[in-house]
Amino acid sequence: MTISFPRQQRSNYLAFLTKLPWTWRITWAYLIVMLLIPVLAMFVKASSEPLPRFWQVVTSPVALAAYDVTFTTSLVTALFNGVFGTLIAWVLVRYDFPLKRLVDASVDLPFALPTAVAGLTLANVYSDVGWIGSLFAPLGIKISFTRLGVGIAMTFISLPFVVRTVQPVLQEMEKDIEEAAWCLGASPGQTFWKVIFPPIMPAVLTGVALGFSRAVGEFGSTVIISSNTPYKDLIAPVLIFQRLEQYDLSAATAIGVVLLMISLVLLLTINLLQAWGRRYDAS
Amino acid sequence: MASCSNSNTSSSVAANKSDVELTLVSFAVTKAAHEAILPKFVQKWKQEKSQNVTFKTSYGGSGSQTRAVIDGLEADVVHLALASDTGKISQAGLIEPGWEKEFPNNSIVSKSVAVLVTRDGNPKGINNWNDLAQDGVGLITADPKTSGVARWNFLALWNYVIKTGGDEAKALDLVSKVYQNVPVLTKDAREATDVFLKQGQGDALINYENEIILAQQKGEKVNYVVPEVNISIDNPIAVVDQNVDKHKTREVAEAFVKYLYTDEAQQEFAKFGFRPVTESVAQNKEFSAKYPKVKNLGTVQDYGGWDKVQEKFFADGAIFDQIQAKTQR
Repeated sequence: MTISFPRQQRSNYLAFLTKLPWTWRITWAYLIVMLLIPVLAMFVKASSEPLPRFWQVVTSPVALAAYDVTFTTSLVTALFNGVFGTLIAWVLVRYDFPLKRLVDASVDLPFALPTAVAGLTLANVYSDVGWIGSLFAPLGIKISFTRLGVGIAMTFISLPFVVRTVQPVLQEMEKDIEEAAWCLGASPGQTFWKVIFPPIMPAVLTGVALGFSRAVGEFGSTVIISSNTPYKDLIAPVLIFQRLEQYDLSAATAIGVVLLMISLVLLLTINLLQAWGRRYDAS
Repeated sequence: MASCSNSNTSSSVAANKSDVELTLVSFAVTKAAHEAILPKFVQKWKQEKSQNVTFKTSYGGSGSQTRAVIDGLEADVVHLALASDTGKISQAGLIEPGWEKEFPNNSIVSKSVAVLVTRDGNPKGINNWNDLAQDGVGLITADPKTSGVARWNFLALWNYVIKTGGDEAKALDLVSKVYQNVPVLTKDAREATDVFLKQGQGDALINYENEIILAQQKGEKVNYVVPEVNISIDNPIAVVDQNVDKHKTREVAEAFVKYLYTDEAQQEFAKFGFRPVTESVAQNKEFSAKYPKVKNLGTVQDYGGWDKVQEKFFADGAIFDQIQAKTQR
């Protein structure tokens, strides 16, 4: 990275560099080694493709369909989890019931379970001979080996993110605020939308963003429950894997770069939404 | 960007009687056979040379293993599903050209054929390749993009049309129809077996004969046919020249590969579902009954070898891609 500074500033800048506190130095070194270099390496590898071929690889009909499956499904499941994860967090914080600790701990299962195991289990349960899948089969709804199944797998692995980000915020909220709202004549609906929701919205969005990015990158469980049919439910990470298996490394990284870019744009958007959601925090 | 160079030199093994370590990298379904064969070789080597050999083994999809070896997994011996994978390692400069001629039988050390597995009582009446093209038949096979076996399966279908007097247009027609009937394309051979048997998907499954025999040995009930017109699935073996020179293990690596061709080792392969490559073992009563002779057996050489096949069928935008684009839209 070459950033040119005017002479005066540069010496200051160098002085600043040498005076950096240790925590900063370690942080930077860590981030550079763990994050920046691998990502940079990916870009370098992808740029080894001549531009026309790069373009051809990342805009091939199969790839476009795969982005669609990956991002649309991830976004829908993340939003879905935004609603249900918040509900679960609410129940866990506000109510006491037997085995609450167990339920609370089980929310983390998708974090702990190897994804391949999760995928295999879900594919079994939702296949047309499985426990849940067999209930839907007579209605003509296939779940495993369709895009719906991919969505289920993504929902499963990204659920803890929302619950775990919303829970602490809810725990900190005083019940008095709600009571005050009721005393002032707010309906339950108004209380929720005007009093409870604004402070927890940033947390919900953070959870949605985390869950979304996890779902986009998910491979282990989705590859098992997807039928891997192009244009139908082939997800982008599997497309990358296929490229790798053909030893077409630069094409694989090219698709990876595109995924990264789309993810970044979407995460930025969610961040902006969060900033907008925090407009109440100034008080 | 500084690319990392692998610089973990193992303690150089002198050519005396100190212990020696060999790394064998192989494709997933050979695991059971190799686990039976390796101890026998270790014993034999100990007797002959009074030297201890320890094996490090790695099993996985053929394509992934190929990539790992090229990227620095220091294999002394590679046993892969198809010659084009070994060829890739050779192109990367790790194996000297002409490796096919190093060992007997064009360096093919294990063989199999493609089989058709059907449901109990074969309700859809699937007995041959062309039956897979019927409407309403669901076929499970692995994805040629990621799996070695799937490429053999595809070739088996193509071979069937050509060997029964059809031309390329007819062959294309058949494979297009068959792949329209595929509801799930799995990552590899093992996953295809699981999706078909455990998750009850599809009416038919194409897979390696050895994979199905192994499933039977594990207590699965499978009914399958070995089609009369078939393709010979040939798995090559090679010594990775660059690595054996570095580890100074050439002598023992070559001895091990030669051992795999002995009757003793071939019998083990045959026990675990592979067709023996040596006549003497194939003649053995136990195995001649287990592996009925296939009447009309094509080889990949009939189609110009793996390089040509890869380019014609599986490369970007080649026949397989065209079929998928046609069927899905």
